[in-house]
Amino acid sequence: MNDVNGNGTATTTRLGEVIEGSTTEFRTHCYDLYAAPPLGSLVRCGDGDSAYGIVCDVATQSMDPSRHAIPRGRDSEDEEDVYLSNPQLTRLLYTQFQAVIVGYEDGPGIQRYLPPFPPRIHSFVYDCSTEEVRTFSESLDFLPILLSPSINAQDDVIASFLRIAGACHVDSNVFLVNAGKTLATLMAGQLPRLNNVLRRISP
Amino acid sequence: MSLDLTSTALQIDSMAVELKGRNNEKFRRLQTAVDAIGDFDVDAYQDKLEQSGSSVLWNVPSFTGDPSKSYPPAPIPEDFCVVAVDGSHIDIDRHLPARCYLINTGTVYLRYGSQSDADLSSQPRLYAEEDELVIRDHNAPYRQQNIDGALLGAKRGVEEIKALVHALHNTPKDVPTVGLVDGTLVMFGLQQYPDFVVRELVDNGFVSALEELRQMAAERPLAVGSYISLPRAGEVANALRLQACPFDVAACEQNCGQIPARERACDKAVGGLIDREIFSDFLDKGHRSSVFKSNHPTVSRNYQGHGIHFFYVNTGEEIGRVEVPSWVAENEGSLELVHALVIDQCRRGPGYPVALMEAHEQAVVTGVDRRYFVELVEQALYDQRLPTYSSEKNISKRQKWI
Repeated sequence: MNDVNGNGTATTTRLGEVIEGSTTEFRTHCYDLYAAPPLGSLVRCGDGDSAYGIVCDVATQSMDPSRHAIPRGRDSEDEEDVYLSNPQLTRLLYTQFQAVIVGYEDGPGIQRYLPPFPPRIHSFVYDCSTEEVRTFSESLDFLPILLSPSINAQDDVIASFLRIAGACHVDSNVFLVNAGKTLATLMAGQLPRLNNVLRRISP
Repeated sequence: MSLDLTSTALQIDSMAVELKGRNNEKFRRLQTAVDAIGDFDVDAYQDKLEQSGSSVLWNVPSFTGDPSKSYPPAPIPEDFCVVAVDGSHIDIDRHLPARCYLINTGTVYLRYGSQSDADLSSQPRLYAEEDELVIRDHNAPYRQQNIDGALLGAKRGVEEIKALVHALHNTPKDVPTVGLVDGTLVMFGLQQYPDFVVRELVDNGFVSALEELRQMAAERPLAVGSYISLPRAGEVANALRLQACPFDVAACEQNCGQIPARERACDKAVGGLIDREIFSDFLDKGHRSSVFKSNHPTVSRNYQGHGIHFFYVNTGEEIGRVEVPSWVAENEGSLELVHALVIDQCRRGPGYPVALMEAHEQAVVTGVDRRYFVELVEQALYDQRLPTYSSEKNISKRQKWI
């Protein structure tokens, strides 16, 4: 589902809606199965004073928690055939993702810390365009939020985000070197961990 | 106090021992039944059935072919649809402050082939108006029958088949389609009710919907049927009773009325058997039995020519029973379509038609749903400043004082 800006050109894709939200994170139910953005992607939720989040967890599961999936492909030629032969699956499974909030729109500007209020339930969630990612990542003041121990696999989330953001900048190397310096400060005393993250964002 | 499981378990053990004792004798009767199916003389049976008329106490079917034959499924079409409906209800609760009932119908549309697609939905409908809570005799409006209990079950059956009609109107007209309902197409258990009740539910309800389906099927590749898992019907077994009957005319009451059950000649030959036990012996995986025509009195009296036929299928997991209207049974293409797609649905299930399983999931009203329903009713009445009350019995069940 593409949303269109004032010039009539497609900008971002509407991915789904918020089904759980707090001032620190929100959970999005995707409109389409397996249509979640990759780990570490920057997403925006809400029309108006939007909140920005970085995808930190993606899951696909049964709509009904009391029903679980069973193998269905013994006689299928490929995985796609399993879905074609069982069309109900696309209605019984859903994909959701969790995003940690790293900033919000504050009038004309962007704040890179937690918003005063959580996103509303059913807020639309969009992926961010290259331009939005570049603008948001011009400052990395939000990185301490991503280092919060409440996030699972936080180092992978940070590395994924930096790789995605780096690709949006004109000089990716300069961006990543600056990001590495920021991380070195934030992760002082955690040398093995810092090295792990830096290895993952090295070109 | 909860159930005394120790005492119950002892009785269950005794039951199991007794069942084991009966099993050997039953196995012998089953062999007799299978042999009898192999030697069945359809013409002689039909003659005896006609001669005996209503003096036969057993519900026996008419035969349309050799009962010992089995038929493999036809190949399934490349593109096809299956539409299934199921229902669930919340009955009138006399402990509640409002008289009302709810019927929830679940509908599933599955399309297979080049344009694979699915749509799953449910439609709850609350009945609380005065006119919705009773069935009235239009000729004598003072005569009315409350809709609750078994009658609500029958009303739900009517709503299910109406939902099937509605769903089929919205499916592609050029794709072979089978419409399925859960359970039997025969509206059992209405004999005890006045004629105006039967007329309203069967003639004006169920049969009217069947007629609409028949008209739709005349214009497009459409067949409808119902699927019964683990069927307990014994109509074919009853036919074997008739064949085993030593009298020229099977006047049950007159000939054997003084003989205790299990001692009659038909009991000794095939008594206690059900159809699925007989067909499990000679239906290969995927095959169906011959088609039989139900002679249930309600069908004969009220179905206005929509005879109900049935056959048994070996799904690979169980012997299931499929019921179809006469206009499906008498059209070879439609019959083959129902047979092939029921087997295919059971394969995808696995074990039970996947469309019916999902329709059930859409329709089911859980215990938690029922509690919320009561709370919603009480809250709505409270919001309208209406008195909310419950019986002391109901209150005592909730509070469980010691």
